[in-house]
Amino acid sequence: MIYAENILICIAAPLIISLLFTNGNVRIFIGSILTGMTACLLCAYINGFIDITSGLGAEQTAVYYSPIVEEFVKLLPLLFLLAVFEPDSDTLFLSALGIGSGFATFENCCYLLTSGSSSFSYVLIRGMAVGVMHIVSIMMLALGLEIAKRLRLLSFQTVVCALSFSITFHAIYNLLVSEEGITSYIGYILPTVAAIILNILLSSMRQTNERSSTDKLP
Amino acid sequence: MYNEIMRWISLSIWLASWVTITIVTAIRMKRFRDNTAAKYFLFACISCILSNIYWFVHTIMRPDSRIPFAANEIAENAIFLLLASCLIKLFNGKPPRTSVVINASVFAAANTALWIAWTGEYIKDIMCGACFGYFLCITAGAVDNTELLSKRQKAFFFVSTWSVIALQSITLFTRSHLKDIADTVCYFLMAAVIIVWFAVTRAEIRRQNADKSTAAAMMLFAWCDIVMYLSAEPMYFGAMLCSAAGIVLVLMSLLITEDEK
Repeated sequence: MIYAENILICIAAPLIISLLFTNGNVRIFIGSILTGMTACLLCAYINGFIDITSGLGAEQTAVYYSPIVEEFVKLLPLLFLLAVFEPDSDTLFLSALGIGSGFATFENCCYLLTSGSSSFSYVLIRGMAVGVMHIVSIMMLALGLEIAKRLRLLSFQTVVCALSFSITFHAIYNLLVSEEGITSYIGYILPTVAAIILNILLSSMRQTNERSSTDKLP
Repeated sequence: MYNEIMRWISLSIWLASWVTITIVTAIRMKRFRDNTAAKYFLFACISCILSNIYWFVHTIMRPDSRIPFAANEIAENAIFLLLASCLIKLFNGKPPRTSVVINASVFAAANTALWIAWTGEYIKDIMCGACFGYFLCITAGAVDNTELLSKRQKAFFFVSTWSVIALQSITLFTRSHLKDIADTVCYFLMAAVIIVWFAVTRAEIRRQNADKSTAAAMMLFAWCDIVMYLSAEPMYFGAMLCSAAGIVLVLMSLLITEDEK
């Protein structure tokens, strides 16, 4: 058994101190990483509770319930940010990236401490598949919220819609990798492919943004 | 074996129709630039595609296991909420009458009770029932506000839909012959209502009446979903295909709305 809270304190302490020496976007990013790591610990408690009360077992809980719990918990700080600070799109995406990175990093640290790091393939999967998946899912969530904001459609319905994008992506990944075989290989590649597509989408959104702001200049 | 083949054909047609509708809506987004309802509709389509991809993958990987409360439930509930928002925007937020809301809510609650009685999945069915009930209230309000139906047609739909609920409730408490008779009559009634709603929707689309055709198409989609949730395979697949046809008619109605502008 690992003491996840102790691991969090050990990793978070230098990051908290570094907040004092940073400002602007760097501070936002580090703060988001800390938020992501805390969210990961909270999700571990909730998933453990659901595992025990539902009686489904750890594997089934991971396939069916974990995506819902984890994406919902990741949504909360983004919603707080949107409601209180009304950030621009760059800040929103930066925060989402930080939350996703923090979540994935802390989760990977805990898994490596539990299972060890001797198997290179296991380490690669944890880093390149699971880690990237957490980042892609929260970026999808942030993208959905940003599009809704730009179209002036930000409401309970569109927030649920954006959440459903990230939950379903996460759930498809968990389902694909839950069994050995060709489906697990598809699952491992899926986050990287999705990250590339998302990067193209975000770049084109940024270019459209820049074009429309230059068009408005006298 | 037959069920398996029907399942794969229906799922494929269902997914293909949603993908086609999404692509068509996305391409026509330039036309729909100022149409908030169409934007909600596009969001609903994307949610549905993701939900169906999950369902597809689950059916391939775990064909004999039922999906418990899972990820695609959130997407399905999002679809109902977004389609309701689409209707609210189209009809400028005109609220439905209290009697319509009460009837639709009680009907949705009755359906939810039946789902819980069959599946035992309280949380999933209550969440779905709440979102679906909201969508049904808005849709029933739209049908009422557009004066789509005559008094006789309203009476027909009221009697047939509540008869379906009554017959399905009977199947819970009876066995063998009476259960089979109730089931069979139910399926005939459900099919009759689908056919009539389909005819009403097509007639309004032919008349290029945007408001009435949208309200009718949404109600057809809602009724097909109710039939899906109340049916066992293979009737479930038939209702699924009718639901896909219903959403195509919703898109056609939205295009009429845009043409009118």
